[in-house]
Amino acid sequence: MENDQNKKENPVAEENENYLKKELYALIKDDSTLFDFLQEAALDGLWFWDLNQPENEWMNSRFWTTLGYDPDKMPHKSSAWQHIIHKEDLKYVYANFTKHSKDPSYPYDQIVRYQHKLGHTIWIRCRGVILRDDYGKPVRMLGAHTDITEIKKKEEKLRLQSAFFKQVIDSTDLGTWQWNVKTGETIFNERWAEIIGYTLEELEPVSIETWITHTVPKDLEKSNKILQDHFAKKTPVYEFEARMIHKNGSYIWVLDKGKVVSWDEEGNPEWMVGSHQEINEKKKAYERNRLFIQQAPTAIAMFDWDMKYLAASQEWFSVFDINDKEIVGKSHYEVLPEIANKWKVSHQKCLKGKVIKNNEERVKRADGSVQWLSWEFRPWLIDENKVGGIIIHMSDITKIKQEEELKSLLAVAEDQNKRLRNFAHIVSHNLKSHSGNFEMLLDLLIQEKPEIEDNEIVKLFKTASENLTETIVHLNEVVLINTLVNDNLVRLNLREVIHKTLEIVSAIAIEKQVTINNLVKPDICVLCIPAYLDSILLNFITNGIKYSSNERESYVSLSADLEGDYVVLSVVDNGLGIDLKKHRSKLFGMYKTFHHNKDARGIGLFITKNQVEAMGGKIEVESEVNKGTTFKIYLKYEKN
Amino acid sequence: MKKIDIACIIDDDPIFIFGMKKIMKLIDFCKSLMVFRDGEEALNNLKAIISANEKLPDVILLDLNMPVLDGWQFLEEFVKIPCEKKIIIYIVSSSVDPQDILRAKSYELVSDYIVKPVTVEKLKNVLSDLKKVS
Repeated sequence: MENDQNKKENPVAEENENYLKKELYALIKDDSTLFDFLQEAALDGLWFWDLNQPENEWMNSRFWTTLGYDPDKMPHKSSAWQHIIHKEDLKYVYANFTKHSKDPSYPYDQIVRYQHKLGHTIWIRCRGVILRDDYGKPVRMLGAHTDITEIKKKEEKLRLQSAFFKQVIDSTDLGTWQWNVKTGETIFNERWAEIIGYTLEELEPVSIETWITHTVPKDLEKSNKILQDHFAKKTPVYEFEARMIHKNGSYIWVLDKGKVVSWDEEGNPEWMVGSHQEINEKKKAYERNRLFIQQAPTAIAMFDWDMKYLAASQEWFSVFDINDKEIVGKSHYEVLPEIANKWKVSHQKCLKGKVIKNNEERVKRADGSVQWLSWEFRPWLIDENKVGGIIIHMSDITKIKQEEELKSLLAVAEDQNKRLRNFAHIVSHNLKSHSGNFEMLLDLLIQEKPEIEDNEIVKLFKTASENLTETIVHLNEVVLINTLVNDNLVRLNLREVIHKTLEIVSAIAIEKQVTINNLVKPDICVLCIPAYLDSILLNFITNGIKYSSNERESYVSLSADLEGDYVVLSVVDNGLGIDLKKHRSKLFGMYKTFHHNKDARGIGLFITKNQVEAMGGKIEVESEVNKGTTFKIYLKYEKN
Repeated sequence: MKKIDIACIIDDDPIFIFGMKKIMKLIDFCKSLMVFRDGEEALNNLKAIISANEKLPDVILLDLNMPVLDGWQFLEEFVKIPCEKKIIIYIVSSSVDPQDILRAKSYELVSDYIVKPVTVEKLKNVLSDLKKVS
């Protein structure tokens, strides 16, 4: 029957087959060894059954060897195989036999199990055909066995395997996909749909379009790039983190992984299989970390296992002077190619789980300047024990270090200042006792011998002694100007204080014919030590009077302006002036005079400057010879 | 009381002591004078006088800047000695440091602070003050 079908289906081969078939058939008729060969080589068993005497059945030797028995010891009886066939299958065999004997078009073809002599199961495909007499009555039956145990075993193995994989996939919550790249045909599992809030039924009919329409377009674009790399065999697997659009409209982060499993003859991808893993929580946590790192006020960066950037803070860019801000995904060593080997070693140690840090690292920059860094490498963990990468935290502490150095310098300066003060104190004190003795002894000498007071040497001696005493008094005044005067500052009305001072100096002002103008507004108040302010005003006003010009009508004018936290008191005269080019540097020095004035002692401005500075102010001066001088005295302004 | 019985100078400066002796003589300051060269010497001797129940000075002129025990240390120790007689102490120092002057005034025993050099006038004032007190 099969041959007949083949003839119809394959008319081209008909000619050839016909003569060879005829030849083979003829040969088989003539030569029974050919038939023997066929029944031994082509089949796993042949049987011929007498249906009139059903206990008689001929079985060829292959029939028995397939089942593990010695053909010579087996009888040609149907009961022989009926003993070793699976009981349930025997019922099936009878049923099929009955059907086939009633209706010859019903095929006698079934798979049955035999028990091998050694006990295991042999799967046999058993086909048969009934031979009938002229009246259509079944008389003989011819059957053939094919051993399909191997196929059955593989089938079973495959079934187990697929059940195993199904279990694995179900338990990992993975969505799976299979995609025919050429046709767009896709197969998803239920979980694939569930991740984005659907049932598979709701998504029907599925195709690659289902993926495209449910993925954020921007991510799809990136995914395609990575996919193309995989298609070009640049990457062993495709892997991408994409945002899919959930049924409720929100984004779901999915880790999409896949691999091409079959290629066509031209090397184009055919079938690709892969999985979807929902990583929303992980991704959100990671996003939080990333945002945190980006906004961190210090230099901090997060790297993956390959030292590729995951995130970096703004400060990171400025500390390392990195211009290209698109560094995520790039290797640290690619971004900073000149990085020293020792750092690479430290990175590797850190990737093995070690925390490495240094609070003060002195680094020489390319331009030779020194940079101080404080840094820490810390591994971050994916799971309990698996290092996912490292976080590097680095601060440029150069400024802090410089400040520290400045502070220590300041401490040295403070210490020296203190010692200087101490020294000045001792000098002035010791000098004072000696000069005191001089004065006392001279005094006694004159008391005892009044006549020597007129002696020229004694006179000069007395002057020298008085000058020494005076110098020491000045020195003491300077030493006693305390820089920590804040507690002693008093609120003073500037105009009133000037007014009082003018009373003291009015006599010499009249004598020298100098007009003094107090132009300070009545409401301006300053924070000063009263004695200092008195001394300062007296000094500047008397200076103005002393150094007035005889060639014109002289004046000294005092006015005040506000400038920030200061009251700027201007003392303006039209007197002799000072040659500032020559004298500016020593103007406020001790015992410096700039005029041939017999009253000039050169101590006033020195003490004045010290007093002004002690009260937190400063003095500025402008002067032109024979035109006049302007002193600007900065005093602390007291608002209310 | 016309005149001070015993005066005492505690000072390490021989010139000063010489001068003081002269001035005291000039104005007839006291009947007798004790001189100690530093605070410790003064303290030991004064203690001895007290325990021997001998005559203590009426007035002490105390310098501040001295070796061994300075003026302040002397004062610290001296105030602890129980003594029936009221001794008037003047501090006589070259120091014009306001802190020294303030500190001196914090002692009840110290009646005034004299800045060196001591002149005839200054010592006369001391004398008249002492007379007022007595």
